[in-house]
Amino acid sequence: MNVILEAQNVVFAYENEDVEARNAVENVSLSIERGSFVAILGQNGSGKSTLAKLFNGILLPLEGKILVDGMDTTHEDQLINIRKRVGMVFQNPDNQLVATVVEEDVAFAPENLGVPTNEIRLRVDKALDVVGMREYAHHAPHQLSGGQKQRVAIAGILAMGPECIIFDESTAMLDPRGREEIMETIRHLNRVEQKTIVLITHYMEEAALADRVVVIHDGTIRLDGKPEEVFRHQNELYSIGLSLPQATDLIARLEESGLYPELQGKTALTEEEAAVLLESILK
Amino acid sequence: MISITLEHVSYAYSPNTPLEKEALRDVSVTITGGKITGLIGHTGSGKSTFAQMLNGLLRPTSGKIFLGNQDIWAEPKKISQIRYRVGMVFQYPEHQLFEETVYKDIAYGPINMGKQGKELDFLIRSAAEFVGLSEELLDKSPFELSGGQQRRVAIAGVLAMDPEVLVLDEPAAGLDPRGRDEILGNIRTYQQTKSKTVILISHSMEDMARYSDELIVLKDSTLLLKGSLKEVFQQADIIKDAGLRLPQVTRVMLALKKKGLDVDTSVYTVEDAFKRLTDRRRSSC
Repeated sequence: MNVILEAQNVVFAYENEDVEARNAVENVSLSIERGSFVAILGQNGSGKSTLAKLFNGILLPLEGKILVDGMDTTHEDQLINIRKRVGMVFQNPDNQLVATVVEEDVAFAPENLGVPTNEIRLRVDKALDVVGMREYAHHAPHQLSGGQKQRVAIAGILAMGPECIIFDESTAMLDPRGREEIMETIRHLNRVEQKTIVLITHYMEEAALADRVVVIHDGTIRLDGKPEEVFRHQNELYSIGLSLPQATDLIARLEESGLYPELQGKTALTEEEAAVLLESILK
Repeated sequence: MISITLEHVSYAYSPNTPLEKEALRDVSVTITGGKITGLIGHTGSGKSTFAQMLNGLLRPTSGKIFLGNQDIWAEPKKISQIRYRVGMVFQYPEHQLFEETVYKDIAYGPINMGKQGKELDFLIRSAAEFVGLSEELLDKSPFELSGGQQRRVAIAGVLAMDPEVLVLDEPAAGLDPRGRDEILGNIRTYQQTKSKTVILISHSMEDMARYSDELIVLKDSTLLLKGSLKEVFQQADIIKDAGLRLPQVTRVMLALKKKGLDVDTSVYTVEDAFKRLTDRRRSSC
């Protein structure tokens, strides 16, 4: 089976909202392939975080179905298996760390799952290695930078052995270096550890690094494709409160200006790509 | 257009205990009046400590802070007067909303200052207008509003005190691109219309490039750089060393320069880069 997360005609609305309020998620169907790296973009209130919470059973659909590796999230006896399969990393690292020592924090979830002690040791060491935090195993979380704390939170999720990790604006509170650290970790998790990644973000630069970008607006999917395809719909993106990465924006504007006919049909997703395109023209 | 001057300011948390932690070390700098000064630095560099000293929430362990010519700690009992003159918007300020209506929430600060009647009403309505809150929202409960609108209410609550200096800690954190531009654009308009002194803390160098006039860079509790946006951003290596990064569009220009092309790298917004590159094309045709 190649699909790990699947939403089938999913509808969700929060309780005690106005009767006229629209559904938070309105008839969404979406399949996420095992091993892929998918970014989800949308305005505040677009429904993207709701969708993330539906995918690991924190929220249950009112209509339609969510399948995680074929397991229906409404089947309560499957919930533990679903959460082992799909981990979530949230925005504020301070709310996610519970222990006073880094390695204990990472061990917290597998301990709760009843994993044998020897196995926990192995998992904790491996998880800390993957996020590059092994040398901080005996530090207190409060001594760490934001990016380091967030990497410990990721290690805690990894220790549960998930196949898929959902990042819900996990870089929003970090400084530039912290954001870079997390994006590098995410790429490593995807490419080397072969985890499926779902990245919910407000940073277009981060979404540009994914294999696929899904744009949600008013609870429905507006755009879905490779980043270079999605970012060509600049007018639509701007109309729903989003933007382009600066490198993409610059190349798009130059192409539109008519002064750079060589850029016709070209897109840049990163600063390197933009520099390569411009170099060949300006030389 | 009042300035703020720090003279050899240091601050330590839990001083003279084993847990003593130095958060600022011997910082001397002047924040220019009537401009937006961006305060940047990595997590833990001392930005929040710096900000909280500007309105007397923290008292320097040593050194002095002047609001205009006035030493703000000359009379410690009157420090609350300084807090009215230097307004502070904390991170995620919407978590501090508590009143039944938006109007009452915005009114809280100015009422505490003793404002009343028509003046109070005027302060509330003009603050709401500056942050783009429409009249009909004023009677609603702040808790019925979206997160972005709640953020505006919280900022309006500080603007309504009509402070001479406004300090904002990550006012756009967690907002989508349009939300960011709207809030920061509102702050820019407010600052220009009323010739206020504004200090803006943000991790987004792209936002700093668009909205600040001058920058102060902190690193490991010390002052690293202070100058105009251009003066500071030209120091690419120092910026990187401070755990920060230049706007992506600047990095594009730097990469071109590295490839041996003769391009101006003092370009910090997409608009600027576009203009330089189209001018270049026009002149070479």
